[in-house]
Amino acid sequence: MTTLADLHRAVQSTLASKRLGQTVFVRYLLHNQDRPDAALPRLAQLTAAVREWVGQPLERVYAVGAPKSGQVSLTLEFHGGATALVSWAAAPHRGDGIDLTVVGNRGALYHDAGSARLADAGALPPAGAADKSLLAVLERAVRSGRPETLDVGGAP
Amino acid sequence: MKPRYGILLVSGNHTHQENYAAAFAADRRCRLIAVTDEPDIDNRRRQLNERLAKALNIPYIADLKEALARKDVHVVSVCAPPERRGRIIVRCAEAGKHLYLDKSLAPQLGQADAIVAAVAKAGVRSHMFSFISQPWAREAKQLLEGKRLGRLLAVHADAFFAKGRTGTARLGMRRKEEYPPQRHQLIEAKRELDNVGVYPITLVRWLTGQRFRTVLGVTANYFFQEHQKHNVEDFGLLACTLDDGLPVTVVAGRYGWTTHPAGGVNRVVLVGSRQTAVIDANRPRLEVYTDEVPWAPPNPHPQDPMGFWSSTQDEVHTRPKRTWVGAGPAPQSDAAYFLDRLDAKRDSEINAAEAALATEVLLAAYRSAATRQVVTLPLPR
Repeated sequence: MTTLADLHRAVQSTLASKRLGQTVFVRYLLHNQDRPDAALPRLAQLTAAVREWVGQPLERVYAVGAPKSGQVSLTLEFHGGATALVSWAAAPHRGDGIDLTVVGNRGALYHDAGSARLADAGALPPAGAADKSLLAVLERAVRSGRPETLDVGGAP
Repeated sequence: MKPRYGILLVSGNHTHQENYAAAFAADRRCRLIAVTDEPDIDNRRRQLNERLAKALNIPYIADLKEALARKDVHVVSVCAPPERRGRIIVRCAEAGKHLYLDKSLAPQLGQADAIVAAVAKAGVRSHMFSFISQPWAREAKQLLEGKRLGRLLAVHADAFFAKGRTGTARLGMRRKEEYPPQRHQLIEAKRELDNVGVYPITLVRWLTGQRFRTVLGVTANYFFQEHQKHNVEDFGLLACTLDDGLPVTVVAGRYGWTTHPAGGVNRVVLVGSRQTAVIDANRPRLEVYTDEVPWAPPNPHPQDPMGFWSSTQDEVHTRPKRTWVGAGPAPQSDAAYFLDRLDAKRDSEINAAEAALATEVLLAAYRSAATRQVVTLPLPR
């Protein structure tokens, strides 16, 4: 069965083919039944994937919503001008719960899983797998309610 | 049936009036009276206005004041360029005419406020072009009103126009936004956050009944050197909260002819505690694959390289995309929706006051993009 890693690999290889040109925007919605305390590690996992697809350092993060309310949306701005909206919701869903669009300057890819489900839909990222500095930035953004600017010279 | 609404058209070809006039002309309740505009417009605009009048076989009245004095004019369809739109709409309202308005309402807050005041004072009915009369939008509204989704947790709304030859913008730098925004509509480019983003913003307000409270806006130049050259964005995103705290995200832009199998993404995701609904203007659909020659973008029209207008696309023989075929109910025209409301003596759900709220959200987004701060509504007057 397909896993989240399979999906991410398919996206990465499509982007590597340069068919879309340069990635400029990602819209990533994940709906699943994670507990609220899993929301930020999950978002850190997705943000790391998006950062890899964009190929630019993350420069600024803004969050609306909160894990306890069942919904967090991150606005990500990257150093080279690319942007992303990455959202998590603790909500019932159809299919694999993933709604993904990657826009390049010459094309776009749209993920449509139909009714297919991911084999690891309920599985959290392995303990310690989340990028700790990225997770800390997301926690800060959710807590502050303001755009949080990162030092692009260092991680993440 | 004897037509009961005389329609006056402000501005002609190379505006959305080409489409609006066709929609009114197709409705048996209407009779097109004339095309008009302000008397001091430039030669190019005058020629384009006269061209539409000629195509519709109606007179061109060169002075708006004279046209508004006509007793057989009941509704004015206003498609003047954004910079002249505000004062023209006010004059039409003061003349006691009902108003069919191009989007977005006006580029400046003071103009939007003046329109709302003039419409209220004159007691005329008004409507700004939107998607709310489309079957898919009505479906989303019914889902929310029926409480089938449970508690609404978030709304995500996207609109992209798949037009223009993409891949020509210089990448690698963040756009520096200006506030207030200038230059909304040029021959080669428009401010696409305003032009396209007005649809999802209006839709979210209409669906939820809530006002926008906070807005973070980002604008960008991702696709077209034409937009970059004129310092107008081809992409914009908003991360917002509504008055009740509901998180909303909006994405809008123009991203190229070949980036989508149909006219572009147009969808809203309603995240509920019991169910998540994805309402997509392109679903349900048939997907048709044949041995026909594959669709290809038209040659760019020198007066309209982005494919803004119907007449120019006819001139360069733009073929319709036919891979996706809509399989939902046939949509009613937006003009017919407004005429239905006039018949019922009811205001439009997107009247001037509602349209002005969308203007304020758009301006908040531009202000946020310029200052790199979250902006709280209402904006200061």
